Amino acid sequence: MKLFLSFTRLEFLAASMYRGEFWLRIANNLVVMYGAYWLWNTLYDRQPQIFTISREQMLAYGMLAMLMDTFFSASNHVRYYIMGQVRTGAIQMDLLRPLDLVFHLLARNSGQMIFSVLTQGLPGFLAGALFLGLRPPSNLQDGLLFLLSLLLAYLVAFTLNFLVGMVAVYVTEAQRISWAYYALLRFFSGQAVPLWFFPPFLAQIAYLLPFRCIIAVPLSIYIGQLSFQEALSALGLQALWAAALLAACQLTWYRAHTRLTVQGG
Amino acid sequence: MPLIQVQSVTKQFRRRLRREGFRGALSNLFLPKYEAITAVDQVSFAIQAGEIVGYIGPNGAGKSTTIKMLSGILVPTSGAIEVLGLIPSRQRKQYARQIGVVFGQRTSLWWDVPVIDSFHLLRDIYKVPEAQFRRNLELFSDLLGLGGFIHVPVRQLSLGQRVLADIAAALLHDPAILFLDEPTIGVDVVSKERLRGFLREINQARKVTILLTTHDMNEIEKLCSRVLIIDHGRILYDGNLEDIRTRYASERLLAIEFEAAIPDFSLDGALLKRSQGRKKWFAFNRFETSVPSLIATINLKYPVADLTVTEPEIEDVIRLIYQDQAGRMGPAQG
Repeated sequence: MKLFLSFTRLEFLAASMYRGEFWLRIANNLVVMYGAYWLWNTLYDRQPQIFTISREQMLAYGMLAMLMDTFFSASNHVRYYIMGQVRTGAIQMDLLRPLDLVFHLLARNSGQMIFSVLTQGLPGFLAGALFLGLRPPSNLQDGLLFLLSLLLAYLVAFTLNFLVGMVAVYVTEAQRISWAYYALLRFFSGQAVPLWFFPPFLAQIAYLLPFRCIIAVPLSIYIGQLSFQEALSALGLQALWAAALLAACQLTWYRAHTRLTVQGG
Repeated sequence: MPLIQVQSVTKQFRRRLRREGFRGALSNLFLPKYEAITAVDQVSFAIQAGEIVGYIGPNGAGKSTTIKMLSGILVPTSGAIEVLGLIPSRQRKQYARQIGVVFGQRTSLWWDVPVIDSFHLLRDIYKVPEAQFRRNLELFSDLLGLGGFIHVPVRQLSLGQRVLADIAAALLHDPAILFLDEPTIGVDVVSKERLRGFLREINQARKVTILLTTHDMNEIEKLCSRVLIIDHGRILYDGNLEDIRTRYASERLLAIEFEAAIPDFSLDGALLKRSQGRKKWFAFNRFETSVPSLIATINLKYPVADLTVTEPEIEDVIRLIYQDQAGRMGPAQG
């Protein structure tokens, strides 16, 4: 645990070295949140009957989906890191450490994630609350469940990124697969369009994929769309996915490691 | 029992053959062909605790591959490696705690943060007790002159400074063995001298066993009690540096300055190499021709003012070995 914190601290320090990026991202967050605000407001004005939820709920979902996309992008570092290390052969430096790679990268990435939440998520949330009418969850219980859900969402995002990064061990040009992953994520996580607007067969697919655990599940809890029972089972689903994906990471890494040490990367 | 035991280790890589042209590209896609490349071929050696061994060879000879197998990040295709009683690639984590590895071309430090922050993390990774960490940090700052840049982010360091910081990083956890793969890349003369002093110090005071690869013969001469020469994946020589001269460099050069300029002449058992003014240079085989008789013969013919016999530079000998090894030598028996 001490080691975990030590990693977190270092990555936090490293991330804080770039000040320009910090301001750019804040500005970016405000713009995309405003875009979502304007879009959903306009749609609501036109056809309020197609929404099964209130205007405030829809606006909160839309803006937070945008905000989460930016601060959750810290989990993409895992994917880029693995792909870069494999391509340059520097992955061997990671093999020299007396550490398990999954743990190593989770510890590294958590620091980046915490930094991202503090410097992107919180300011974006406050700005939304101040200027765009972003409402906090309607009760404390939903708020706490949301935070728990966010943590599980991060684990799912981390493991998926890890697995996609591992593709680089087998495929020289993994960049395209990485883009494909991102496109799938945006669509099936409910980030661009909430899942309840999907036609039935697409909704069915989205339901079977892990992506919705990253955005749709935590936000449904946030806006109070789920009852307490439903929220608990949604958290259970996230936890199951996270556990299964973590196991998949270990298995994949075990095989990739063998390949790297036999083939030399 | 030696600390490092390498027994007929071979490492082969598979490389995809890239065929040319349109048809070639198509068959690359559907029927990829592979060729096996033998990077290390039946290599055996043993290193005792406390030795400093230089591992040399031309580019692509198999040095780095050997170091990678010894540090547990590559598995040998065949043969056996045992270090500190462990099998490096199998007991990777346990083994990694007991060795230090530096690849001069790569860094194990965090790019964006000051050196000292990376050291703190390494302290936690290797679970180094605080007192030991402080003591090491002080010693390394002292001997390697890290003090000047320990608070500077790694990306702003010069290559030489970064290498010194990496070497310190590899030793924070007091490893029993240090593997160095070209540790003096980009290091200036003064820092090189300092680094050599440092390596000698940790070898003597802490009994750290060191295996290093380098292209700098000067370094080998000053540091290593023993050298391994490898080329085309095979060990050509295993022994001390002086023996290389006696074994492979039988030619000596005799430079004579006469009292007056004289015409060229020939000698039994020596070959006139060069002639300039009153000076002449003769090459001879030191096993076939004795220096006193050579000088006596010359002195009988012309009055000699001054003379010197020179041994070949170690660098030249090594070059001879690299160039020559295919034909004349074959693998040495060590």
